[in-house]
Amino acid sequence: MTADSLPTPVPAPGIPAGVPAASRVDMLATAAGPPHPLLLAPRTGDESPEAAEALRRWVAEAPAGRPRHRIELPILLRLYNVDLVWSPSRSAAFASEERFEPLREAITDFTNLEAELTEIEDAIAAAWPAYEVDLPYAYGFNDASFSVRDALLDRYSTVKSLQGRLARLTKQITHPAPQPPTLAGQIGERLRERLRIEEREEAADGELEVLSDHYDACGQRASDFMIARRENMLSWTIIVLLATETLLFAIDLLSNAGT
Amino acid sequence: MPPWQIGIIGGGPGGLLTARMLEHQATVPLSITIFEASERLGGKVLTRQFEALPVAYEVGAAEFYDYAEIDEDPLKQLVQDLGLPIQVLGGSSLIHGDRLVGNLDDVRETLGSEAAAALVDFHHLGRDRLSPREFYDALPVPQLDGPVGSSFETLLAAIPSPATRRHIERFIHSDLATEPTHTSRRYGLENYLMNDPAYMQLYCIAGGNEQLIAAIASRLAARIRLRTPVLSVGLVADGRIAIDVAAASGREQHLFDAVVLALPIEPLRQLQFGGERLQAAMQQHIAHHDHPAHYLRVSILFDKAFWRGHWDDAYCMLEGFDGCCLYDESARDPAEEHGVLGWLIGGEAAVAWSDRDDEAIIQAALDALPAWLREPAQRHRLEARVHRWIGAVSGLPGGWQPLPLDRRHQPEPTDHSTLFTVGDYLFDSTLNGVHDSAQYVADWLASLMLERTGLSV
Repeated sequence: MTADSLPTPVPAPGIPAGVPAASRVDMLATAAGPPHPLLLAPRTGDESPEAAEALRRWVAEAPAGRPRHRIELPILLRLYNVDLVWSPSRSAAFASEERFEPLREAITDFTNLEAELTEIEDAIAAAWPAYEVDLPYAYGFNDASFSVRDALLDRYSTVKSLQGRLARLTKQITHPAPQPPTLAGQIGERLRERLRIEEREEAADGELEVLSDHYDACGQRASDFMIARRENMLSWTIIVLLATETLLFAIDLLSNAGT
Repeated sequence: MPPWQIGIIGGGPGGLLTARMLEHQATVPLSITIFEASERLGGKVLTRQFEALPVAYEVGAAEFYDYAEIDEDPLKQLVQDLGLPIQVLGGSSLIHGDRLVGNLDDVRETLGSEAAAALVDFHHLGRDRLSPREFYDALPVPQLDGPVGSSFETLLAAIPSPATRRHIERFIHSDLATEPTHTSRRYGLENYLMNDPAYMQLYCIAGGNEQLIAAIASRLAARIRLRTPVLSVGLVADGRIAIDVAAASGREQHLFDAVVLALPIEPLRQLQFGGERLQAAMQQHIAHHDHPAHYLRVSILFDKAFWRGHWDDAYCMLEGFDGCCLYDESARDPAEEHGVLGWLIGGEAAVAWSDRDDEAIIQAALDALPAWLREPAQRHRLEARVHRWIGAVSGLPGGWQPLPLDRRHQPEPTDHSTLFTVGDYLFDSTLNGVHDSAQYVADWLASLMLERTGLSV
């Protein structure tokens, strides 16, 4: 790999005024998309409300992407000696330094989970207009429909792939938190609750089932049509062959009659 | 066919649930009479309001256990069937000094790595010894139960870290309502494991747990006699059971085909039983289950829930009183604007403080708060109440060696086969236990009635 082909590093955003100087910004790796900046401010015990507000503002100034089901962003979470502000594009926390590692772990896991779910939801939303157009193909398929066969196959593959991605996500969502409770487990649990991850996953699952049933039916109709078409061709081939054979037999008969 | 006459002694949840189940299950005509010595139904399920403001708080049973994650939960089903609103209660923290210790990371930071490791080990040991299924089914687990008389203390003694041991003791002290030496390994461990959501979750009825009592009572056809203490119970010549009561008009005798004693141990001890055999059986029953545990309830009304933002759980544990549960009572009703804190002081600390006057107990409760709650608590305080529940529950439900279920519910099977007992002390000192006990007796009685009326298939 040459230096030219290396990805351009995303610069870490600066530390806002009003938070302890010993704070740092960690760029958390995400599965897809840019890294997620996490501002970690060491707790001193006498944080002013202004410092907490500075953290919130710092998180809020990064665009959070599309609205999450009317959930107000950023999320503020106060949990056993940790103050956390989370949004899909940035997070910040006041915590003692010993908590930085579990915080990184919890934020990385949750941000990836939420981003993946959002991406699936967006893909589902994008699939509905085509679904409306494709509705007749679930009932019947004819010569005029033949041209959309490849497009239907693409949509079928997309829906099945989304179902697979969601199934892999479900495992993470329903996985019970560790016991005795850990900070990372509690943060993940609270964030999943606040971002209504379980309800959103259920809704996405329901929508994908409708799409999947529809494209299964379309596939069945297309397959039936192709089989019928092949059978038709075969029948005509046999008819032509039989006709040819009859013709040849007739010619042969006539030529023999002449001699 | 004349109706079966059933007498139920005790208008607490045990008596009411038994009556409800019998009315639902019996296929023969029934006439049920419930005798209650006090002026109210509900026993230990008691919701009160402050005088200063009509704000509710729980005086008695604080919560219900939700086992729906494991299997059927008939009590929760009943609450839902009655249309009562459920409020989930959550919390996992202990206030250590002035610090909220809410997870393993906090334990590591506050008590040290060794203590945290010991806590994880104890948790795994607990889960290995008693699975959620075994917990739910209340199956005997010989490797946990140990020899008869093995107290919970023997299990705690094996914890290598004294700090962890103290942490666990404080964490479950209120729930046990007794000391580790006075209860079994199993009951102690159950009270520890119930903090793990794999075993159960907690909930209450929004607006007051006593609504359950009112909802059940309003649907009963049974005759309810309040302020009617029962004096004696005994067999009469025709095989029926006589109950003598102190009515307003004087002593009355009522005859029944079957009688259910739905009373805690202490009131049961006050009853007179006729006939040597029954006397001996009841003495044995009482002695087997006599493991009194104690509570003090301190409830304080504040003009606002000033702790929100610093502490948002429905409950946490305090170090004071050897471990005491602090409820955010106002979290039970999402519409409540005022703040109510409730201290559940259990065990020997409850006994020791019960003789003191209310103000001294209230002050001790406030002193048990961490500094960041103590000062605003004094400032926002409006009214405080103390309720004493000395010897009101069992610290060792089922006894050191639990008896077969039939023996628990039928103390004298030879001559008094229609005399039954129902109570939380027979199972696990909870409302769910009372429900199970009432269900057992109602099933038994329903089949007995079928059998004796010749209608059995």
